[in-house]
Amino acid sequence: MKDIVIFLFQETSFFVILYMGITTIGYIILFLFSIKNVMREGRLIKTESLEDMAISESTYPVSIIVPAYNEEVGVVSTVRSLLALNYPEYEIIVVDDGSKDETLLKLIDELKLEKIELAVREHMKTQQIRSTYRSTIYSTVTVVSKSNGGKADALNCGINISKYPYFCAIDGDSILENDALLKVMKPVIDSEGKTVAVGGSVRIANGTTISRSKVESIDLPKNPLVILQIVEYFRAFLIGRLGFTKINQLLIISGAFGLFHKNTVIKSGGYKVDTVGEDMELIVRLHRIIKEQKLDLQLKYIPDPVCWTEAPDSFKVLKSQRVRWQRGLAETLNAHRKMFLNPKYGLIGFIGFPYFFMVELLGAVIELIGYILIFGGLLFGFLDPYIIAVLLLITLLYGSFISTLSILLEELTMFKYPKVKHLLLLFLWALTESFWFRPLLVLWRFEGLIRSFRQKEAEWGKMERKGISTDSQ
Amino acid sequence: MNIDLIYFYWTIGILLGFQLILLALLCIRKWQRNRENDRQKQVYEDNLELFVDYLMTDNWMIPKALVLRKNFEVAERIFSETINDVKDTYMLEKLEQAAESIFSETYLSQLRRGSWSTRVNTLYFIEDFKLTSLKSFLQQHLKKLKVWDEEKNQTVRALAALNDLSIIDYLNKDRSATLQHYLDVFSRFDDDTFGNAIKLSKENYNPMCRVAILSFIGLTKNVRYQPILEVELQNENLEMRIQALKGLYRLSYISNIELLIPFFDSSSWQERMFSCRISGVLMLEVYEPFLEKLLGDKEWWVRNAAAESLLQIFGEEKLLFLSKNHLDLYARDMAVQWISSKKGGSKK
Repeated sequence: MKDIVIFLFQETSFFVILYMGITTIGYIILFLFSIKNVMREGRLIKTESLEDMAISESTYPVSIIVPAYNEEVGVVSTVRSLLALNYPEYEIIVVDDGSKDETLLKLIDELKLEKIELAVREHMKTQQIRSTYRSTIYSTVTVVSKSNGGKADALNCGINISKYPYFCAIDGDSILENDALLKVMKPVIDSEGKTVAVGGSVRIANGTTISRSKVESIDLPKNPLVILQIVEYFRAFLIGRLGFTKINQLLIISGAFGLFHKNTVIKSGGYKVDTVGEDMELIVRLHRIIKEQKLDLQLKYIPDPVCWTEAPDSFKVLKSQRVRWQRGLAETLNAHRKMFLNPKYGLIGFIGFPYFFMVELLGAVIELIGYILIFGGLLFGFLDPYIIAVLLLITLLYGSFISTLSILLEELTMFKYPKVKHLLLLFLWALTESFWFRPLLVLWRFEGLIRSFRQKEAEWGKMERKGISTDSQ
Repeated sequence: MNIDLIYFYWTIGILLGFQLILLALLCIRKWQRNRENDRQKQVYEDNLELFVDYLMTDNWMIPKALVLRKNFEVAERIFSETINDVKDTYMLEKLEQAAESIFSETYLSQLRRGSWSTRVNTLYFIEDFKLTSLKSFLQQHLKKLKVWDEEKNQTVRALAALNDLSIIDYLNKDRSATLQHYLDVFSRFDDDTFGNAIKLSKENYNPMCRVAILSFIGLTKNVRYQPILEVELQNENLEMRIQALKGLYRLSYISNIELLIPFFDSSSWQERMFSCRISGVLMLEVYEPFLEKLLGDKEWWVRNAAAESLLQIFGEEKLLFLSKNHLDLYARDMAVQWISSKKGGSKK
């Protein structure tokens, strides 16, 4: 019996090693795609290429939609940062999704809102609109107060209200860099409208000084939990999304910052309200429609335009965020399972979708087994030391090594963190990732996966905002 | 599989070593970069005033530091920051002459041997500094470029900035050229060259070029070319008529208002919308019945434009009346929206 158990453990270990080995090779291939792009386009003088767009009347106007739920700390700063954007024509629509705090009152007070009547085109059904307001000091700012219906419902409401052909969805506590909107619009203009969705990079603002809704100086936070989230974002955006966009396999555009062609989103049915992963679900659905209807459209990720957002700085909030994300991922993949290995959906069915299923979703289960085998093997000695060593090596490769490569990409593209000290801190913490941060994430992701079978209703994330702008504190 | 564990320790060691080497290289690179940035900042601060003196006075000696190879990027920065603000022809002549002497030789070699990103950045500066001496090289360079990427776009723009009319012929022949390419070119031409482009478009007719010309006249609100727009209202091509209407709306001028009448009943919602908008900006009371009818149009944009124009021409009372008495529910909603939108502020 004991032999059978040991045999089973060993076979499982081989499977985990094989899985993590293949995934690591996959990451390295994505890294190579990304670095090729970075070496080619990362050195362009971006301000020069945007000069025309900033003053051109043919740059499409954009409706910026800010869904907000209990965002009294940061929402006014977000609106102020949006008012300072370098973009020829845009409107700002804040959708207060029945907040229980003073979000609406703060907006009314700070932006001098006055009630107005709006003739709303109901492209998508949403929860009831209670009242609509317009700022008496900034005519481009509209605020909608509606009954609570979740983030997707708030976004759909914003789309119904919006008047321009493109909309940009951003979170209620995020700050966009001055040229960010121009930069995400560039691929749309370059492709003459064939690019229907563009995502930009999201960066963690903790530690950075943002004053009067503008990034003044960039620094690292002291909390290692946040530092490792910064590295994780590099990895997700600069390796994952940049690599996938090069092969037209981008399956996610962050809900914190994305630009969309309004009619395409409306025709696809808008944001799905009964999921917590509304951002990814929309992108997967767009891909699905593009393939099913054989449309000549594309979705892109651009590393340069940056949106700064606040990251959780406690284990409790980070856990709740990650459980929620994993639930969203599971719900999206389940809703579109028809695409999995289906030739009708081309490469998306064979690369993008299986990647998200095998790596992002099931990866949590397999990594968890890997950690159990390593710790169990070390403590109880049921595994050959040789196998434990291989498992450790592959875990290091999978975690810390790939993360340090993502820091290299950041250094080659964005140079956001100015000091040598920043680089050292990021690098050294990244080396520790496999030993504490990643196991925790794996546990939470696993919990999210389990919850996706039980919990079905959509909800807003429970983030304890401290505010990222000094004028909001 | 009986490989000695020592190999795995070695692998971990090599990986760690590789990462540490990578870290060391990145740190050195960052340190050098920061030091160079500080040095350039100092050179910039030391020479900006000298450069302004050079521009404003009769002194034709470029500040020495800006001619040095090691300060090439500082010189680029000072020139590109200055050139957009200078309007005086004497100073512009000085600037362009200085730019030719400092940059053209290096740019030529960068275009010949540089990487893709270096070539594109070089083309940005050639456009900014209007380096006429590189015109023929750019024409040859363009012929070699097959794919419409940033390099080809920028070569076309640089040639347009040098008022090279042959670029129109090039775009007319290139089947993958887009409306935006023409607009990019027109926006860089001076007035005379744009006038010549219009003449050329009549001789060698290309529909896209023509649409771009109409669109550009509207964008720049150049009244000199208004008659061209009125002529194109009779064109059989819908896109051409829409651009002509859009142009007339932007110019806010039409010599004969009866030209608008057919568009109120057009099957194209864009034509109906622009006829409403033009009525509004020109305060054409005579078209009140059309506007009232179009307030109940099936297209939101047409209803919106009709409501805006009714408000502009007849004021809030008219919309208040229509918000209660119009037969169409959507028309009444739209009237209500425009009445309340008057409460909005005025600043951005």
